[in-house]
Amino acid sequence: MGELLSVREVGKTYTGAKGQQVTALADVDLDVAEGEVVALIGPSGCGKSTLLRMIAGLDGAFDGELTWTKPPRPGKDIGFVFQEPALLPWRSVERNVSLGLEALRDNSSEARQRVRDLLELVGLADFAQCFPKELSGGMRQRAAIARALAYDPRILLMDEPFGALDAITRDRLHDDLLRIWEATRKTIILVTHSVEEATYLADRVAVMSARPGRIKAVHHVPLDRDRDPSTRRLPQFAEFAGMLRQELE
Amino acid sequence: MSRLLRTLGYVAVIVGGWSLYVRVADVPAYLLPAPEEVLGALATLVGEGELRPHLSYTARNIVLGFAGGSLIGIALGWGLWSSRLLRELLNPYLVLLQAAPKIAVAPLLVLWFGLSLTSQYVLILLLVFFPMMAATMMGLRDVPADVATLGRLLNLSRPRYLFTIQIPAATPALLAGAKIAVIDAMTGAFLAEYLSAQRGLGYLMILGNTSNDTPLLIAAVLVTVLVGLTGFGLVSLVEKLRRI
Repeated sequence: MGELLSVREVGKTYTGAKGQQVTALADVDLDVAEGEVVALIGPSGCGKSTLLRMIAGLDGAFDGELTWTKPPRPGKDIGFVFQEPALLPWRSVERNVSLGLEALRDNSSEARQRVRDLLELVGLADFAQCFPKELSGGMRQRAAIARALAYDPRILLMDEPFGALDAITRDRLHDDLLRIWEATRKTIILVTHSVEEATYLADRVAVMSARPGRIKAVHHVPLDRDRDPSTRRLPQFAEFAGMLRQELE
Repeated sequence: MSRLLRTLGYVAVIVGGWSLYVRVADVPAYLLPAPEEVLGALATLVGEGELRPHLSYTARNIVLGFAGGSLIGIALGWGLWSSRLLRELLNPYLVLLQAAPKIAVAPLLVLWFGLSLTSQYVLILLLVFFPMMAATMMGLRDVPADVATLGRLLNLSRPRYLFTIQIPAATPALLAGAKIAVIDAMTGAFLAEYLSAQRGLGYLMILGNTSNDTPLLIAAVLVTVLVGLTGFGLVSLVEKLRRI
């Protein structure tokens, strides 16, 4: 697996409402390899979302260095999934998913086929012509994931993508994401505050601490890449999740 | 069907009450003519072909004034929304302009632009632009933060962002504004005709009033109400079609 992205001594300081200096992030080092799933976990306010936005190129005001082996092309290489689906309510599921392709003026038959394949992959093939309000919360988030993958980005950034869902739906989407990864082998950076989610989905977990936001430790998840619901019952799973939980305290 | 019946019921109650009151209280015709007299005046207006030129004159002014005022309002709203400097610079003037009673401004307009179409249009535009401007600003604010971020991630150009995201997102607010603006356009058109015109429904009302032809006055008011309902109905129809 080749290197894709390296984060070196990244920090961010901003001026707060009362004029005081706030350090949101300090000395963050992180390497991400191609095809890898990295989870960023930490308490709220540890700057994990800020770090993700920096990687997405949404926030350029920081110290340190973000180095890509191939710099991302605007509108092509970053797939982003928010906590909320953020679908456009006046567009059908299919037209929401193809939004990025439209922006690239990609009208090719391969692009259209890709959208169909993705809808199939996330289980929304029968709902392509539906509008977001006709879908359940989990289906909407699946559509948002398909939208982020439609233009075949080099990396998928996910900002607490399952945080707003109920537990049963969340478990189901975890399995969907594993399946999506199996099919696409995308590099994924996943921001989460759930230790189980990080353990189940990631190859490596970066544990962050708050004020100032730092990376405390990076752990390899001691599980096979081949995971399914029975993985959650393995002793290693519980052990690793427990260790993460302890580290967050 | 039941809606039609209900509407007819409303009309019957109003007309019946009116007719009964005129008869029982023995109201003289120059104060309040009976419904059939008003209907007669209306029939004469239509029959002699007098209504059509007045109606089309007023309708044209309303349509043009509404369209022009909406364009100005939307452009201003977009400008104010996208530039903080412009917002801070223009806001006091706009609020002052809106706070000024238009009836008081109207004679001034006649003074400046004469008894011409220009003064009529200026008055309509003045009334229409503000609700559309406010609606545009509100609508643009309705774009959720995540969707705005998505626009940046997908590297949408400014015009593309405007047409694929901002305008559709602002449409419900714009239609709500249009409902107010269309009524304002009508108020402006009638007010302008009241003051200066030699034609139009407002002029018919003046004519009815000054010639002591109360049935004509009331007939003109009724036509005006119908025009108002039509304008409002058209905007509501667009709103409903969009939701399907």
